[in-house]
Amino acid sequence: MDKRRKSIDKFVASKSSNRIIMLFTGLDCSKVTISSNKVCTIRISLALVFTMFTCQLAHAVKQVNGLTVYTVAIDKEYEPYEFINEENGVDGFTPALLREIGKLAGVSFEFKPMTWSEAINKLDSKEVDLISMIYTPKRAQLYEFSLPHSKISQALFCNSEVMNIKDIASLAGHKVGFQHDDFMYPNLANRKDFSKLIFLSKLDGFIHLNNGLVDAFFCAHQSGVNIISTYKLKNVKLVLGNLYPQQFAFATYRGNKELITLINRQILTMKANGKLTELQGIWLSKHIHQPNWFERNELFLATLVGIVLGLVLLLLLWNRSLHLRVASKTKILQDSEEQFRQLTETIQEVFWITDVAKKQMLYISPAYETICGVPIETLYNDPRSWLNFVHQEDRERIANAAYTKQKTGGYDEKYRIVRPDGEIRWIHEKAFPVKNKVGEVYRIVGVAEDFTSIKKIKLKLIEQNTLNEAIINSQKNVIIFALDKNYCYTTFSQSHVQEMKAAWNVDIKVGMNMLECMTIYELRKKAKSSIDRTLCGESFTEIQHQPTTNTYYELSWNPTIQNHAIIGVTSFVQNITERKLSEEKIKRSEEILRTVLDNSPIGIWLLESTGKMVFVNKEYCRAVGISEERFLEVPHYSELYTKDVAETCKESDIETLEFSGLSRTTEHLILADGKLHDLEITKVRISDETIGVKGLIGISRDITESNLAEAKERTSHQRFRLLLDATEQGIFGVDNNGNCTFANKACIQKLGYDTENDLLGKHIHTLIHHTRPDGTNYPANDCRAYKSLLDKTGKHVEDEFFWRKDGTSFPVEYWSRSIFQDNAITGAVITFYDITQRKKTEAFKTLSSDILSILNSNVGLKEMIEMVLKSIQQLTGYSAIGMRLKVGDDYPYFVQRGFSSEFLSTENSIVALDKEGDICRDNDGNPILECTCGLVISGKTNKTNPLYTKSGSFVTNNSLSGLDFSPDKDPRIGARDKCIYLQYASYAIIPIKANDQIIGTLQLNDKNKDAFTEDSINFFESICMNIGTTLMRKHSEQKLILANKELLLHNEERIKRSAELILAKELALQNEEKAKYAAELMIVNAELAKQNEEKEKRSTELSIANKELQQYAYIASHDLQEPLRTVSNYMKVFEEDYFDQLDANGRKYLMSVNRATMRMSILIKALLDFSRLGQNSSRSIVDCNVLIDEVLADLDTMLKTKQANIHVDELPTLNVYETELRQVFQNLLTNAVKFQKKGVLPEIKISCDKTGDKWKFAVSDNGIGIAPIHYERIFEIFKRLHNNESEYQGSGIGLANCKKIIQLHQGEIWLESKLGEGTTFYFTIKNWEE
Amino acid sequence: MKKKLRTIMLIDDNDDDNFYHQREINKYNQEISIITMETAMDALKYFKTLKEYNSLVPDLIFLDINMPCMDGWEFLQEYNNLDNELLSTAVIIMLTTSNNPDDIRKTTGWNFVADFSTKPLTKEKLEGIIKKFLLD
Repeated sequence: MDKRRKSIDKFVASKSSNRIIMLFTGLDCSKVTISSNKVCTIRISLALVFTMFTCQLAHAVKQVNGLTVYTVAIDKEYEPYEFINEENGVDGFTPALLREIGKLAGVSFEFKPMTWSEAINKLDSKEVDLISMIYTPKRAQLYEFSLPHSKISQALFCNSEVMNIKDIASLAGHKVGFQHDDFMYPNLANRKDFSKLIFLSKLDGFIHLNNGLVDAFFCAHQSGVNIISTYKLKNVKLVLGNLYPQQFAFATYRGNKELITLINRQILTMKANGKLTELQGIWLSKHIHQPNWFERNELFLATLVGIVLGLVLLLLLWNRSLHLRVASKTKILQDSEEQFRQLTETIQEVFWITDVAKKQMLYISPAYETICGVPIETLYNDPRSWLNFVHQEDRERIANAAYTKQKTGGYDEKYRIVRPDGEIRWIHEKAFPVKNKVGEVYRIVGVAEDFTSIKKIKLKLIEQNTLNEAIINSQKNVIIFALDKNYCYTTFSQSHVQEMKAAWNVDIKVGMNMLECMTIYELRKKAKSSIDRTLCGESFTEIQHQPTTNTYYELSWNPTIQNHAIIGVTSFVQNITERKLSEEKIKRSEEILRTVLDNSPIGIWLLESTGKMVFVNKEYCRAVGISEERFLEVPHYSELYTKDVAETCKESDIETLEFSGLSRTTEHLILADGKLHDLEITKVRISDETIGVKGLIGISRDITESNLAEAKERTSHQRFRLLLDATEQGIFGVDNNGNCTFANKACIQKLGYDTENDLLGKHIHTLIHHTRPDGTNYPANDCRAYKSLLDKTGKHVEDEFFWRKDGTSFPVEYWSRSIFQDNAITGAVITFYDITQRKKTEAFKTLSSDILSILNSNVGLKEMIEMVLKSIQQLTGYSAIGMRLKVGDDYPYFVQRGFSSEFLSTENSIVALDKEGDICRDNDGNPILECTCGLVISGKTNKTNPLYTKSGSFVTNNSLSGLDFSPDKDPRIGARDKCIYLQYASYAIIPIKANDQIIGTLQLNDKNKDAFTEDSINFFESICMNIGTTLMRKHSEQKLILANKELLLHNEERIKRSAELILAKELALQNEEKAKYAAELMIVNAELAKQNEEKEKRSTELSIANKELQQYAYIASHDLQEPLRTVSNYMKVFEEDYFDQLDANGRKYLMSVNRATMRMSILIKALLDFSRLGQNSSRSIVDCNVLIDEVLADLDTMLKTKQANIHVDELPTLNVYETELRQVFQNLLTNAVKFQKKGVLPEIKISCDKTGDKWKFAVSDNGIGIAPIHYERIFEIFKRLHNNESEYQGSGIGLANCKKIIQLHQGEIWLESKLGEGTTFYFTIKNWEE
Repeated sequence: MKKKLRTIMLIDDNDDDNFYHQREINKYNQEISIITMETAMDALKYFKTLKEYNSLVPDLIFLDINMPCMDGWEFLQEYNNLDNELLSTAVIIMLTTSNNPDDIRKTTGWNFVADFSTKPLTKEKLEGIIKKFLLD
């Protein structure tokens, strides 16, 4: 198998855990050959899925053939401890060990491969019994651990391009990966100097590491090594191995000691007999993954080829070098001089040779001209002429040196020359003597180099340094020093020298290690960590205390950066001792203040204008029961209060802040102790002008105690006051001088005053009692109420008036009682009632009896009525009174008092007249009567209108409102408004009835508003009844005398009446019977309702069951779809990757599988559609002719191909489920065309007629026909009469759909058929009424 | 605002689907990083520790509905409860087996769920989605 393919497989196998996957890119899979192995793998994994599914419900421990089986979770990728091998089997050290243990102990272990986190979860839920786990004390609290079976250690791996990771300490600044849940992570979690990335699996980590996304990765040593070799990760190397050796053991959930004991016993046995060591040897001593046979062959081949190639190469090289050596010898000799010349002429340095004996220049390179600016000929002429150009100051030194040292050797001088153009150049010259065989110096060779540019830079540097130093030292207050990466000084200011001397008694120098100067270990450690931080690139400021000199320093650390690299640190130090000390002083005084404030019994707080608490003392916190922290953390303190308290507080805050600047309020609040307290709260506005902040100081004092006594008194007074104010009686008190001491609410109200203050202290008699009922003056001395003060007796008075503030009066009944205090009279209390109403009622009573006696007297009618009206007017004082009585068609005033002649001239007659002066009549021939009077007489009053009473009277207490009616809304007929124009503010019109006929009215008009009350109108209505009766009596008296016949008639009438009465009784009896029936009916109804309820309940249950069934179909088809999709997906993958490599048979099989999956998918979808039928659809009016036309249009292509002839009868228009019905026709027509004999053209007929309340459709064809035994079957789902390979294909759900749709239409579907002749499908559907 | 697609997260308990979907995504563009989460819990954990571990932020999430333990809807609920800062700006597509109308209706209740798609995800479907919701 191809190597590449193998790694893909591994990758695919490993992808199944939950973690990040960076997919390999650029894999070429085209050369892979197909093998049965893959198919086999698919089968195995399917079986595995099945097993896992079936095992899920079972409990972890089970019995198989009497053998106890424990479930073990195996990490899929923890090679070599446990993993999935290439045959998809569980392999590794722990499975091997467990298998051995199982053999020894007679139990069996079932291995379940999964990811580590899954394994832990499953162990927690006891779905598995056992997993392998590194022992830690923390884990030991959660799980039961076995004896360790091996050791496991961690290792640090890093990307091979990362050079500077050597140990854990050098991880700083790098990206380091950890495996999720790995034990290393918590160990290094507090290291903040490198960034950490967590991977959900080792492999992910390694892939990231290999790709350089992380610099280093921690992993179990063995596993890491395995992964590197398995996946051939080229860019990963092991840096540190055998880190943190740990005990590796088995773990189970707590309480499962039995299993642990079993394992421990076997581990001990295996330790004793060496089996454990043997297993460890097999699995754990291999550090490198064993390459497979192919890889081994490759290696072998490579080595072999390498050796052969090497030999050939060596031979070739040897041959070539021999040849070359001969050639070069000759060439060197020939070219040496020329080469030398070329060399010297191209170099920048001046190269020269002199002949010692001849004192002659043998050679000087041309560079001399460029450096000295003089032609070389001058030097050939005079070999010492160069000394002329040497700088004056250097000339003598150089001349001596040249003379002495050149011959002896060791001439190495630096000097300046001055060129003819005046430029100064720096020369570094060296010369060596060349000796002949006898040891004489015969040549001197020299090299001179121009280093002017370097010298210039150096000079500049010195200048810069001096400048820097000057700058550094000029800052007297700031101490500056710089260190290199080894904590050694590179520079520092003079002030730092002094400080170091003072602090540590050290004279510092450049290059000295600063840390070594510090003799206190803690300080040194602290300084080191600060420098280390800065060296990591951080800039920060810190404060340090130097205990030896008690000095505070503020150090600002900065990395020194050169060429993007940190080469050291620079620190700017400021002595802040003074600032620090003053800060501490302030802090101390703040603390004192704080203590004082906290111990104050008064609540004190301070807040900013935003409502943010700045300070709150303990007392206030205690009182309100809110902690200081809460107060200080919320943006507005009122958030901590209840809504209404918060509102009050905010209001007073704003008031104080914005306006008054000072406020004092008393609040009643329920405090933390649950009791109501009185708090006197003072708020003072403060402003800090320097920072422009406004705020409030609040002081709260608990004044509950002091208020308590006061409150008690107040309460009793209040109670008394409440009592007084609650009474209906008016009550007031007077002192000995007759001045008011108090007045209750009723009193103030009754007397027409606004507040008690209007009366308090005033002489009450002059205010309310100044005049007698008859209008004469009532002196105070005669006042009977006042007299009770003098004679110590109570007084009861009923015949006096009190006067209101507005000058009106009312009759009163009052009691006056004197008040004794310490045996002396201190005043009196007067209690009174307003007895206006009582007086009025009394008056009406008198009037009523007067009028009755008048009506019963024997005077003439007119005189009698006149007397009645007179007594009414006398009592009531109404401005005008009149009585209308019927005369012909009109109702003129029979008697009237007080109406002006102007009024009467127009109002006496109320009959409506037309233009010709004739009487207008309505449809019944009755004369039309105008205005309100006419309306009342006609009896056409609207009882719901408040202007009319139940008895049909009209009453207004404010006639002007009558003008507000628009003409069409006016309840009157032909309104005349005369009463209104003559300013009768109140008037009433009361009908007078005789024998239920309105024969006239009593009209009462008054110029005052509110002249009538309900009582008075009732009274007048009863008067009118009496008047009516009297009128009738008078009338009948006359009639009695005149006609006896009429009396007889009356008698008959009476008999008739009594007959009617009997009839009425009968009716009542029948009514009773009906009521009884009704009661029975109600019981029956209740029963029916109950049954209905039951039915409804059942139908609800049914609809729930239906819904559940649909849901079930959904879920079932979803669950069926899923594995099917997996199959078809893999088929597609397979086709894409391997199709080219298949032979014809292989391709055929593949296509068959594809077809089958496709068909399965269609079937499932069909099932889904079937389950959805009728859901969420609604009926509509459908013209079946149109529907069929549309269906035929849809099937057009098929119909044309088959040359089908279709006949459609006239079809009805129905209220049905349109979409569903369309489907029925579509299915039936498709079937009719599809199941056709070869060579016969389809003849299809659609017809319809009404049978009963249903419509019966028929679709007939001349097709192959159906045998009777299939008549029922074909409507079942997926039942087909022809197999797939036959000429008649289909999903087998069409007719099942039809049946379901017809059932939805409350109809039936059936068929008649003759084999070979044709089939007719019938169905009935309901037409819903709209 | 549309954004460039760099990272796709697949949340699905079905290994085979994940494998197939990864293949299709790679067919579309091999440079896209794919994060596969086999449980909604893991996905949630991933988002919660996103900042801490400096993990890749997905631009597009395909979320399966029917998963054990925590289903797609519950995941959305939890995802919605994440801190605003943590809420990734990913486009979420519900990717599930059946186009159950109830599920489609439910999808509209989440404003950060962009669309609803049925399995399997194909290169063509992915192209459509990217064209619609992301810039590439």
